[in-house]
Amino acid sequence: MTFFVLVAVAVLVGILGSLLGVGGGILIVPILTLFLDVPVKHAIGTSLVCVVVTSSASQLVYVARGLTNARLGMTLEVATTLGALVGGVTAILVSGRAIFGIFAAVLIYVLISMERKPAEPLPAPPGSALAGSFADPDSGRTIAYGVDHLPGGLALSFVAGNVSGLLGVGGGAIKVPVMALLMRVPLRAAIATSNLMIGVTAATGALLFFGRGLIEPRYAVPTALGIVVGAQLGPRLSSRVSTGVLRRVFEVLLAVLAVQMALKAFGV
Amino acid sequence: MDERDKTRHDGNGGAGRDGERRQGDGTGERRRANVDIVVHHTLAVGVAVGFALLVVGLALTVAGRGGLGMLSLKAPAAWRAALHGRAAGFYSLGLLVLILTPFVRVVGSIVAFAAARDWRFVAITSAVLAVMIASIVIGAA
Repeated sequence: MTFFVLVAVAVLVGILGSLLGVGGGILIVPILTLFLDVPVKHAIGTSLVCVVVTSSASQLVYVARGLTNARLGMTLEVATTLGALVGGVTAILVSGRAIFGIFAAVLIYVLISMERKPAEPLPAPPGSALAGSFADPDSGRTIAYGVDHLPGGLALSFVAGNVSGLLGVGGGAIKVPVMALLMRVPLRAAIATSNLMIGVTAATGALLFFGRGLIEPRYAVPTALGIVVGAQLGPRLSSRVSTGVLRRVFEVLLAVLAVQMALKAFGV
Repeated sequence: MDERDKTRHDGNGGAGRDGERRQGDGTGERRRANVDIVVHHTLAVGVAVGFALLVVGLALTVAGRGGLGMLSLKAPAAWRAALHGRAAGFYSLGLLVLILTPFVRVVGSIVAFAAARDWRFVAITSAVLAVMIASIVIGAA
């Protein structure tokens, strides 16, 4: 019974995530813990598997389109994986209530960052070792760019990795703005490169959780299968649903889950 | 990846590294394209194999050879269970393959950077690999 409920939940999360361009991790942990009585650390392990799988599947498309800046991604991955390792160890050691509290704060951050639409800065001038370029699908022109503020980018990537390992999310909501706004990487390249990093970062956390027996097939198998089915269905449904409406639904969902997670943190 | 995509990659690669551009675009283009191709193939194979193992597990569960109980197996135990045709072994192996796929992608990138004699990125990618190995060691400890 639980098996089919988990598949159904994951299909819906996969559809929503693929249509809105957000990872499913931010929804999986709250839904599993609040409504399906999955212990929080098992929920994080399950979510990390889903994040890895979704990232690998999406990366196939991004790499084929030449949008991913592998050199930049791999440089920042040094910081994100270190962050994930520290975050994962912290998650295993701290109490479930602390995790609920931090999760509620991150849900609110994601909610706020979805509403804010800062202007994208001009791309940094190309010329550094991490410079990249891609063919813009809209204009057909090749866009060449450089990378600014690498030390700051590395520091914030560590934070993104930390959140990923601690809460079982991808952390794209941190990585994409850091690359696009601080490092002045064009948004398309930032999204594709963030996705590449998410796979390795979540895998670092997942390997830690797997060793600790916190990746339970009972939860992880139906959820992983469902999320991939949902991610395949999403783009096919995109012509039939309004992204604007979906976005509102998602924001309301985030707000409700944030309140519930905060209540859990206070033991209510 | 089809031919058209490859050409597009080569078009991108020229803006890669400072020195390479002056040396001649051909080399730099091929180098960057190789890393992208390694990433692409590793991820495609990893996801396909991982899912195939999970589906075999489900088929065995339907056939009455073990359910989805609370049973997370370590790699050696999962391997033995799979050899005995138990569903639990396929579930654990499938999940392990899925989460190891990015790890293999990192190893593949190191090889691709080494083949291109790009030692700076061999070092950077090796650092990522070292952190991932640390997480396996700490997880198993």
